Amino acid sequence: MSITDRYYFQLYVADTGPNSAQAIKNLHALCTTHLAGRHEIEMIDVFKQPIRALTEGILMTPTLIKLAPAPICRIVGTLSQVDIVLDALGLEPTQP
Amino acid sequence: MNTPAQTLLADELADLIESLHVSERRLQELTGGQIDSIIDHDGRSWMLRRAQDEARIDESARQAAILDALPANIALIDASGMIQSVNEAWRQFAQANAGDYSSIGVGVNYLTTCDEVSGVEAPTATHVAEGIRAVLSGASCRFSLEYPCDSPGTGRWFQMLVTPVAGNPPSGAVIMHLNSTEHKLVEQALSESELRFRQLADNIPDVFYLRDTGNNQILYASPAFEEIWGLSRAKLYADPKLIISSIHIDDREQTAEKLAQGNRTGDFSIEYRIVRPDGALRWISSVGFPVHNESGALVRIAGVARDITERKRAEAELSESERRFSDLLGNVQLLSVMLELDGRINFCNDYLLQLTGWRMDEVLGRSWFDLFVPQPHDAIKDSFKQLLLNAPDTWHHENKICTRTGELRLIRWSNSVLRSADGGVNGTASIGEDITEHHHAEQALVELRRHNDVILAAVGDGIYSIDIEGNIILANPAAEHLLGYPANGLAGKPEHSTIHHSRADHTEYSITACPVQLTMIDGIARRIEDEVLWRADGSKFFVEYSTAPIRNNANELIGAVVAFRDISERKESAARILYLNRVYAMLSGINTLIVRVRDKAELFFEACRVSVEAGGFRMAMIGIVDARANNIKVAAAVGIDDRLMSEIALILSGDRRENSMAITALQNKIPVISNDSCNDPRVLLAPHYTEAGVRSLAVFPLIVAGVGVGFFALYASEIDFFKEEEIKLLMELSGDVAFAIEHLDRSQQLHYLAYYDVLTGLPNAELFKNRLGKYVSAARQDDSGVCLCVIDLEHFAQINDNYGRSVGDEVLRAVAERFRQVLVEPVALGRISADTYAAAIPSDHASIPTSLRDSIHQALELPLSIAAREIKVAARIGIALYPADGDSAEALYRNGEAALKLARNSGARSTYFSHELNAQIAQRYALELQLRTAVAEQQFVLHYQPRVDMISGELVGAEALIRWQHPQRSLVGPSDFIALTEETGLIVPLGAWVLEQACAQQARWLAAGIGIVPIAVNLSSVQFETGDLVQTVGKALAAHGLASKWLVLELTESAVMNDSDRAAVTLQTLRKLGVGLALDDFGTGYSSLAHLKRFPFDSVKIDRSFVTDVTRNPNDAAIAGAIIAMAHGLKLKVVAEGIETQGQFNFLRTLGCDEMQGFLFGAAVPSEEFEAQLRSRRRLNIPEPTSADERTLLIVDDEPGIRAALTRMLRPDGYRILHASGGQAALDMLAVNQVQVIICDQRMPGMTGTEFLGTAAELYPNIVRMILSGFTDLNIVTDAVNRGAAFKFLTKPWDDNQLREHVRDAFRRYRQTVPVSSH
Repeated sequence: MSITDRYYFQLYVADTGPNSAQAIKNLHALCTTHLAGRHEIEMIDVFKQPIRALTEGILMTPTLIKLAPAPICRIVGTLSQVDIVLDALGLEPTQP
Repeated sequence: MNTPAQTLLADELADLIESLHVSERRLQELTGGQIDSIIDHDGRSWMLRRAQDEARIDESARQAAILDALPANIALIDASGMIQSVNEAWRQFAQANAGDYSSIGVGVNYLTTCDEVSGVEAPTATHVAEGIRAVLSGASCRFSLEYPCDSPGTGRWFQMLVTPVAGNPPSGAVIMHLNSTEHKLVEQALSESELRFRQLADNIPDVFYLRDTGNNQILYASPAFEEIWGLSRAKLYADPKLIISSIHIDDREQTAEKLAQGNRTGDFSIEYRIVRPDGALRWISSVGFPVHNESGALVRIAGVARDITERKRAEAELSESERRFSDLLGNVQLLSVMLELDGRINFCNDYLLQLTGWRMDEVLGRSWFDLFVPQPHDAIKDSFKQLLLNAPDTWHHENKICTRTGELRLIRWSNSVLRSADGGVNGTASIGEDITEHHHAEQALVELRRHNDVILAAVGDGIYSIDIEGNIILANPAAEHLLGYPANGLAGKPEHSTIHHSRADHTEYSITACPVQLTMIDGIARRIEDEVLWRADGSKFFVEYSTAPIRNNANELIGAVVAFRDISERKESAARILYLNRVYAMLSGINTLIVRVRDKAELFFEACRVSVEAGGFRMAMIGIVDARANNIKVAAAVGIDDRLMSEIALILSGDRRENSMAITALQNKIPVISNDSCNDPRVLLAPHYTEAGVRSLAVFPLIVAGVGVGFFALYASEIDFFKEEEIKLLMELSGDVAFAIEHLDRSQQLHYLAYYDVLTGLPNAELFKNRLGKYVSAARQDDSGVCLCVIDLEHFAQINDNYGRSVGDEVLRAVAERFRQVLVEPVALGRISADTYAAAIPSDHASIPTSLRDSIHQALELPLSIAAREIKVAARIGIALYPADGDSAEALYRNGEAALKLARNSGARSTYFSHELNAQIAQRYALELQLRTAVAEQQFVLHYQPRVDMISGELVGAEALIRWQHPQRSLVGPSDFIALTEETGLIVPLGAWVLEQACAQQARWLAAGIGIVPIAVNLSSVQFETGDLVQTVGKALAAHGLASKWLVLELTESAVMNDSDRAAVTLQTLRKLGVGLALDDFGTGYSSLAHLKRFPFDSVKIDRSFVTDVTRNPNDAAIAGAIIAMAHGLKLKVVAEGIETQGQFNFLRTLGCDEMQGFLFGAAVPSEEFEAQLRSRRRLNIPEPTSADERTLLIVDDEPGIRAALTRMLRPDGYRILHASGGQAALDMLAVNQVQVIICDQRMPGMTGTEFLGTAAELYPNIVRMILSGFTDLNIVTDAVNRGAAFKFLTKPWDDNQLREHVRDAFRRYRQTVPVSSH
């Protein structure tokens, strides 16, 4: 994974659920800090688009799916533990 | 109690719920509480409870926060109107306004509450409920209402807004109440302030405005603007310049400046005029104040503009009235002064200052008395004070004041007292009139009156005055005395009828014409010099007088005054002097007359005339005694009409003459005088004389050698004319006249003999010339002229011959008489010789000679009756004019005679002399004379010019040319005399002589055995026209037995053309005779070719003018060629005249000319020489034609070096090389030589190379022409080549080989174009 890779995320949230809100917040912060200018986030409200949630096999919200770069990975939760998330995404924790 | 099924169900449910809870708890644990929802296999999401709760809490907290933050009271109602939630504000408001209809909270049905409202607010509530319902039903998307809410102590406003909650139909609505009190208050305040402002603006008549200093835009102007300016504010806002343009043109610049300044400083105050659209003018006062923004910068001007027209007008009026008033005070010539109690001056006007010479500052506060009242004035001062104390209100007095310079003026004062409010005296106010002058005038008048009386009494002239009625008011002593009245005897009498009633001759003097009366009517003074006044005793005397009008104070005419003087004596002397003067004038006139007069008739007539004209006599008469007839005849009379004349004659010849004054005078040898002829019994024809205006007469005897020979009678229109002085003078005069008579008698006889022609009585030649001389000198003196006519009687000799000498004499006399009658003075007449008269007249105008001439002809127009015959004579007149035709009488006369001769010769009735003519005529006459002699004496001789054949060169003929052996001059050629012989007709005999001579000569040579050639004789048209030419020719031939073929006649075109038909006949006849006919000078006259072919000519002679330049001028060459060709065409031989050069010869020969005459062969020679030529068979040398193979090159160049160089180079090639240094020379060479090729330089003086070659090309087209030039002439040269003038051009410097090749080429070319056998 190079520094020029573009990250595509899908974040499945539950309407106004607090965790979902948290997750949204954290994802944005992470992207801004570590993936500035090379990320795309799609927000899917499971209450509004239940079929999609089903198609993707989402069980719980909030769920983040990294679609690109490969491999695809899923993270459930508020994304508050930044290092774990970064690691899971394949990003160096100290990487700017 | 539940059923067991129900209980089972319930239990199952409870377990499920429990397990759900447990599951959820576990899930939470597992996910660290980080998930919000789960999604099942259907895709359905389930929010975990905790998340839900939290979400809900968050959400509601957020919402509550928003709602609570709003100032509005917000409630959420459901579809039924039930309040579901309210915000904090609502809650608080509800609490605060317990009891109010809006104090309702969650759970309460808002709609119901509204419906239940009653009382004054019920309609509002209903309206609200309606609106909410509408929103809830979805009918409207919003409802708003503003309503007041007056809690005690506060006036509040609320705004209610109802909006639906999402859903169709809405699931509920949001009701919002906003406290709009403040807003409303602000709004109210604003509209309140707006109202106040509008009230200000609408009602204050001044304009207040706001102007932006940056762009001058008017941001606001109050409505008063429209009223004052008459323009709309909308226009003003749109166009700020409207203000400026509304300003009066005179004020515009200044105002604009001030405004601009104001924009900078922030304030201004100006007044200006505006012009309204309706044209009215208004004064505006505009004041501006600055408006600054927060940063302190000036951004706007707030201003007020007021219509001050009225004020201005009032000001103007005031100043006008002030001015008028001050003018009044200033200009009126009244003094005004105000004094304090103590006499100090409080006020005085300008006039006082002017009058007295003080200034205002010098006068105010000073004492009146000290300053203006002359010393001593203490008394006056005191009385002034007294006066004031006694306090009359007004009083008048007069006193003198003194000016600064000490002059005293008399003033009439009108004074009044000034009182204070309590009646006490404050001071005085006075108005004074300066009556100084007036006073003086009055005194002067009194003086004058006194003087007048003294004068009137003393003066010698009469003076009287009359009133408007015409009655005498007063008359001075002199008037009374002169008019013969006692003292005061004239007063009251009517002036006109008493003393002025008639004129000197006793005719009535109408009062309306009387100058005195007229003066009284029109007020104009008059001066009359010659009237009479009548004395008391009825006698009259002459006066001169003047009248003047008398006017009263109102300037009306109230009478007249007359001053007169007796001029009787003066008149007497004047008359006397007048008479004497007349007599003197007469004397002088007559004495002058006596000296110059030539005959008695003139003497008598002139004496009478002078008496009447200079002497002023009414009539004058001279009578002469006819001793033989023993009576007196009137010799002269002037001023006497025929009737009276006959009366007088009757007396003098009749019985009563013894008593006549004339006879008395004669007999007694003393003058007879009657100074009052009307009443004198001695005057026999008194009544007649009186009728004629005669009042006195005198008869003076004329005594010669003691014998009375006649009388001189003078008639005067004045009575008493002949006083002592006059008589004395007139007696002297009579003596002079008598002497003149004596003298005249004696001298006239001599005069007559010497100066008059006995036969006709006209002055003879000497007297006439004498008179002519006098005329000439007089004309010389005053720069005018004299016209002389010398008159001949035509054919007078015939009259003498036909009718005899005595008739001839009578004719002469009759002619003289006619002339005398018609040609009166000042025409001088004379008889010069047998039938020659002369007339001369001073002439200062061009018409005079013509009229004299015409008169002369006219005099002889009618036939003369001589001895019962009617004989017609006519005059021929020669006219000469001084000074043009001679500067002395002799010269003039000579030229007059010359002119007469001219007239005779030319057959004119009259001819003017002209000086130039003289010489010509003289010459002509002389020549003519000589010619006649020459013809008579045969002074002529013939020369012969040979003619040769141009081919063979043989002598083939000759032209006979006449020469005149003039006795004095050398041989004269025909050009000098032939013309004259033609004019005089001498040509005919001369021509005949020539013919005869030529024939004789030919015959002689023939007889001598010499081979002769035909001789050509020139004929003039005159000979041709005289009918017997043919006879003459025939005679000449026959006389010498010459065959006609030996004679040729040469005629010019003009000779033949004149009458071409007759000419043709004559020519035919001559041709039949067998003589040759040649047409001479062909081409010089006008000829009709059609005629030409009618005439049987043998040959044509080309005039020399065509020959001269034939080698040079292509035109001449062309003409010559044409003539030759034409002549040949008509089968005529062609002879060229005037060939002088070989060139001309060659050229013409080439053209085909047959024969030639000219100096080339020989000039005309006398017969001996010609004979020699005949004998020797002299011939012309014709040069051999050059061989065809000859190659001749002509080099033409002005530089000899070039010529030499070229020659050197080309000679080895075997050419014959000719040179020429220029174009002319070259042409000459060409004429004489056969040339094939020409090389010519371009640059030559005179004719250029191209010009020469051009000419050569025309004359000799076959010659190959080459031009040699430097590079600079290139375009000329190429032009030449293009025009065909040259075939080639060669350059300088040249290449030898090349040039030689070119020349070879040229010769080759020549060969090609010209066939070998050309000539």
